[in-house]
Amino acid sequence: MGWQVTSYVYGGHQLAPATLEDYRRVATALDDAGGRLIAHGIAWRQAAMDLARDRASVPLCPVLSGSGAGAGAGLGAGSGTVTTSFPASNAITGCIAAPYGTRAGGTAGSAGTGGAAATAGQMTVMHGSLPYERLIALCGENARNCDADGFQLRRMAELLVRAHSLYSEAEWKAREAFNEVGQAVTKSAPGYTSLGMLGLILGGLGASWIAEGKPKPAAASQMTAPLQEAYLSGIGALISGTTYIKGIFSKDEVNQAAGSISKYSGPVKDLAQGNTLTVRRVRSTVDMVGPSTSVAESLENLRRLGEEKYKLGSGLRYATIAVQRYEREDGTNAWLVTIPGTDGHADSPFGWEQNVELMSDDAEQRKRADSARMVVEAMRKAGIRSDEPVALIGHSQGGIVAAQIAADQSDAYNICHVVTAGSPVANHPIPEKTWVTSIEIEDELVAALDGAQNPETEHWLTIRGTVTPTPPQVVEDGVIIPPSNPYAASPVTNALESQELSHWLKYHQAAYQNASDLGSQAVDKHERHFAGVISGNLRETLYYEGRMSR
Amino acid sequence: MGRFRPILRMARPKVRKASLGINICDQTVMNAEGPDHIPLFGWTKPARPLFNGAMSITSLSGNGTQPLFAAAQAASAGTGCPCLTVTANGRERIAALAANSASVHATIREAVASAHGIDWSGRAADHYRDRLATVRNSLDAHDGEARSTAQVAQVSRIPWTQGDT
Repeated sequence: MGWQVTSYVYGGHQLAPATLEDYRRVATALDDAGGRLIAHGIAWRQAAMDLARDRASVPLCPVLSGSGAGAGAGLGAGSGTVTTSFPASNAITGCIAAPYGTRAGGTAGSAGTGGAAATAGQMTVMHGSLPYERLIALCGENARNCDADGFQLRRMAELLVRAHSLYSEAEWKAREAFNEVGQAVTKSAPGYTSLGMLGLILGGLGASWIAEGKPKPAAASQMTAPLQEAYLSGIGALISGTTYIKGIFSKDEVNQAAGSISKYSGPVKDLAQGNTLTVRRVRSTVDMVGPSTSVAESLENLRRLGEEKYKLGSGLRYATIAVQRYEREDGTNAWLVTIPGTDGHADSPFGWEQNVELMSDDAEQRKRADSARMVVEAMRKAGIRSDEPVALIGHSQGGIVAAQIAADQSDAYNICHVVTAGSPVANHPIPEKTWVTSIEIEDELVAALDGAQNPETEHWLTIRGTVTPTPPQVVEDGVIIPPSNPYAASPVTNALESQELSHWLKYHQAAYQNASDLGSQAVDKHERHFAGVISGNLRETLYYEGRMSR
Repeated sequence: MGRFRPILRMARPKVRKASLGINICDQTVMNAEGPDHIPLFGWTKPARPLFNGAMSITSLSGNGTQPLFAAAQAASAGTGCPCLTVTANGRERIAALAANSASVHATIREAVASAHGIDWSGRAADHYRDRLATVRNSLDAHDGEARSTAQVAQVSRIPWTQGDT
């Protein structure tokens, strides 16, 4: 068993309201048509059942209660009064019924397709029958055909809805309202809600223990997924002292709380790790981050830099980012900065505490985060000028750093596009000029740490993926039957058999793949914008490593 | 427990002692003294007995079970067996479904035609159009299958001679 991701697209370029309405109408009509066909299939199936029941509805009728040819012939032979045979096809058109307890003197002749002969003194009784076996089989076949086509139409309606985000706005608002209510509930009864969350976590761990033999944090995260943002924003409101009324109108309670916490965590971190940042250029023996023309390629480069630098023997170590210079046709430069996530090493600027600082609602605190300082320093060393277009792509903490730079360094750099994967960046004040493509997985927890949903604007596109197990392969006569809708979900490459945390970048890659396959105009427009920023030939790839010391 | 009392009260069936096994339905029995039913009992109405020939199995549609000895009675009386009604109903049911198939498919063809022409490109869109075309084609085939099912059901009924002494 593998895993797959189904994506839903929010924000970005929206269709005109009239077009949206047309598409909704088409999707509804398709869904209704599918429903009608399925209902019609049920009617055929009911007819098959009725026919089967009809056969038993006249208990002592030798035609109906018999099972066709065999019964008819048996009756004739057994009673000695009826000598008849029925077509082997079971297409009985008539028969002789013997009055029970009496003997017949005549002979009924053969049936064939329905011949009859009567002799004097005989009584004629009309019987009727149908080729029940065949009819039941045909009704069943018709029912299966209706089902297959009906479900196909419904799947196509669902595909249409997802590809054009027909109801994304309503979903977004409903979710926002749910988060606000959850926040208020958490704030008013933090003990009970925490206990409830703990119960869900334990339930998830217990269920995975039973199912897979050991407790899986991924299962706990999956159980709590729908409540994570609401709960975290409620806890954030408690820490930051946000009132109920203010809580309704603000979304950054978690960031306010992070600001309060980092006032203390920052100095403690400085004591433990030091506050001197050293950024130096390093070289890779392997082409870890190659040329890119798309978000998908850049995501793959990001994954290689974050996860495979040791395996491939590149000579690169933790807390290393890549800065690439692309030369455009007009001779100007464009830049792409690739930023992996938290590594947690003792002297790394991409440690755990830096996440708290990066999440602060205070720009100065965010700027002081070591990881943000390191990337800015690397960009300076690479020679990026303030007017040159820059695209940033980051995973987890790398994505928060990218959002922070776009928000807080907008005067120093021309950040045109930011791609974040699994990063809680909803409340970072990224200016309108910067396009944001956020990829989040429903149950990964990290992306929900902002306690809010991303803005749903023209320039901010959010792709939200839902992870499900891959359905088992259907094999008929040794041939693998392809899935009925290959775009319903994208498989996760190299996913484990068992459930794992969906924060791994391969899940975001699958989510982006699925969203790209949909042919969504919103995704397409962001993709083209990203590709436009880094259009040109890759001239150099520079790697920078950061270290903290006292 | 107290808070559940009203619910329990609602759930408890209201059965009068006198009606147990007697007042099953309110149909009037013309021959109250007949052998196949229970005579008037106090102030209750005459009721249909539990196991007479008209009792039916539970069903959503179609025929119920015919009287147990109806076939024999029909034979002795020289009339048609109830199976004639049953098969006629079956025939009608299939014919109606087949006719309904045509109208359902026509409606679906309209929906599919309008869905086919929307402005959407890409791999998913190609797949979408391909599947709609497949459904449209299979609807044509299913029309024929529904018709042939109805034709199979339209077999004639023929009188058969039964010797009787």
